[in-house]
Amino acid sequence: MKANTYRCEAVVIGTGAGGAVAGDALAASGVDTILVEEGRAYQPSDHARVFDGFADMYFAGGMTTSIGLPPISLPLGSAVGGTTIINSSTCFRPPREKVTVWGGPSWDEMTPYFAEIEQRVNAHPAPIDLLGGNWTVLKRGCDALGIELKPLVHNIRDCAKRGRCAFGCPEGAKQSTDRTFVPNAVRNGTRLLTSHSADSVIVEGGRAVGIAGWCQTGRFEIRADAVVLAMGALRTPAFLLRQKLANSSRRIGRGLRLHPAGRIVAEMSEIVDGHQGIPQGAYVDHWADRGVMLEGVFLPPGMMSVSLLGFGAELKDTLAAYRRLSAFGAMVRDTTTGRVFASPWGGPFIVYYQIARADALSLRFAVARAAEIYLAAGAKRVFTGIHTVPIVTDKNSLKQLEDTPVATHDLELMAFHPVGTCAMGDNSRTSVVNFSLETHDVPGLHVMDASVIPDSLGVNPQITIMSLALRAGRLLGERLRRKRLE
Amino acid sequence: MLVSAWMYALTGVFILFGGGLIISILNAVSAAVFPSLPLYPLPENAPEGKFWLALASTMLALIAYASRAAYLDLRRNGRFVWILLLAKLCSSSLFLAFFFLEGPLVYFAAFCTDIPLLVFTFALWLPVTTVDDWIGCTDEDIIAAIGEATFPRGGAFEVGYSDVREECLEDVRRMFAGYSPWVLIGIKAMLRLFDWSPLLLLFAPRTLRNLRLADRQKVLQKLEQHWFFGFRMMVMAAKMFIAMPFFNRNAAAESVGAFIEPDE
Repeated sequence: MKANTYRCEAVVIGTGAGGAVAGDALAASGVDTILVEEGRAYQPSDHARVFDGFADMYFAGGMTTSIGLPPISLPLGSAVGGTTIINSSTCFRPPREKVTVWGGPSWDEMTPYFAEIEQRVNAHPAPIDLLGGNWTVLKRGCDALGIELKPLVHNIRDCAKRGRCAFGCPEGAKQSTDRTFVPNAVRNGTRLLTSHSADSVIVEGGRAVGIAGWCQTGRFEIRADAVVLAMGALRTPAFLLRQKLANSSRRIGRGLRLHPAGRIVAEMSEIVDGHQGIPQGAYVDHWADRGVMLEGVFLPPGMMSVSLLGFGAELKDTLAAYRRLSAFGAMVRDTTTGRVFASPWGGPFIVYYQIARADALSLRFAVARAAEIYLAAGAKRVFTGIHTVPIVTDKNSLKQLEDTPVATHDLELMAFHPVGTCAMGDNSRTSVVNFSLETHDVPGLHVMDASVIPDSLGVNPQITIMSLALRAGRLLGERLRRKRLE
Repeated sequence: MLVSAWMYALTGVFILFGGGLIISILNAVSAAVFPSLPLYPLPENAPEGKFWLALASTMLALIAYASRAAYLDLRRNGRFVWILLLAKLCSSSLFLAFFFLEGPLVYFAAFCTDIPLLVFTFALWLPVTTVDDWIGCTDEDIIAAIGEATFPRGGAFEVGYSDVREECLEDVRRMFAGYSPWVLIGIKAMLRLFDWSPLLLLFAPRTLRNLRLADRQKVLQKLEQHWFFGFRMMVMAAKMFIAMPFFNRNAAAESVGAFIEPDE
């Protein structure tokens, strides 16, 4: 079978936070670039309904789960825009001390990249009127406890308060990469191949010279001077492991951090209407020194049902109070390290993550703090997501939650920020890529996604991923441009 | 599949007319290499052999036909592959059992032939399977039974799962369409476990589908609060398969005060 063959200077696999920004930076440098995306391109009108967004844009139908106790749900995007199309649009710069510890580009060197990315995606603190009733409830609870609640920074423009960030914004208000960097790259001459699934890097003479894969019409092959992998912290390592590439350090897939999160739902006495506004509107970093971050979250009723207990009349009674529900997420900067394997059964990857006891206790602490805030705000009951004490109604049950021994499998967790599986560093024995994000082992092969971030940030990573990709994309673009001139 | 069809057809013809030759060769090998193993009686020494020969040839004709049908239209005739897999699973299991029970090398040789065919066929077929190959009417009935127990008609809001069952099951299929075959196998196993959970938890010889609504809810509640986290995970997954499609119906969304969405 003859493959469709393309030729370019740089090929980028993935159009999420890393790939789209890298592709745009390369195109802006005048580099002939091809962006390859396994998913489809969607318009905001394509996901007018929550269910459409969930069924169409979540990788593997949203059923990505880690192996370990407890199994942790890992939602990933699968569309042009990658996970940015289904994330909560929350923007944080990485903690300064983390950037310093990495030993790569300094904080001062990275600051202009952070600023440029924030400007490009229109990141700004969300106005209070967009935060909905969730903010009002949480503010009341935090004020009563003397804790500061802050509005989160979001990459949105003209938000219509549909509360749908995690299922594809139907208004196109979220400035995900399919609305920003990808169209810009295409305007600058980048070719975008959607529904193209790459399965291998072509290596000749020890150097990456292209990629190959499948599309609807059969095999395709793209020849390029540089190959950029940006499939995310779970798929990129599995992709490399399957081909036994760039792994002399034996670090690929290891060092996975997930930034696990619990979900707390509270039933209030008053109407909250948490679905009218930005779901992840506010945060509490009061316990940041313990690695705990509380961030708002709100879900449509279908998803909310999973967090609520009971069947039949009991569940219907709780859901009938949907407008009186409020929700908060509790995230912990993890000390646990997991591992990504290439699936031997044809699947994309296997994630092993057995949460450490210390992290489980931190999560219980975080959930208890969120419950305490809700009780201070006057909640009738709080669903904790912890099996041993699933509902908290007063200080006694809160104490019971904090005192009852908790096993790791008693926690109900999700994770949204996997990092660390192709860590960057200057030592080829302890890291996979250098600080230009090129692999130590295979010249011409680059990784520009969350997998290069060596450690859990403790905050949402999209600005960090984008900034690192912008820097590395520009460095690569400059190199390719010089090569062409020579 | 076309290769399989030809292979089974030719094997059938060969066994019909020259099966004795294969057995003679294997008996000779057995006698030379494993003299302690008993020999398999040749067909001419076993008068009833023709009867079994007819059955074996019939089986090979059937699986040759199934292979060809699957080759011609895998989407429509994908279920024919089940016949092939079932035949190979039965034959390889029985050959292995007879080898251990009776000893002739012929059985072991047949086992060694059929097991790779089983694995190879399954490995080739699995990636092209779809939700229709794994989720059937019984599975849908189990989902609907859980759905009716989760959202019965009446109570805090009128609409129940049974009112919108068909639309919900259509959405469930759409959700499942995005899952890998391994996940679908897991879901199928999970649904069957749900169905037999009354037996496991209450020692009641009934399936979940056949329980009264109130009893079904009791069983599901027991699973949701069970000490074994696997049961709790099952309930969470089931609630997602039930609630996401249920609240995709405007009547349900409106009942709880969520956004009404366009173009249902």
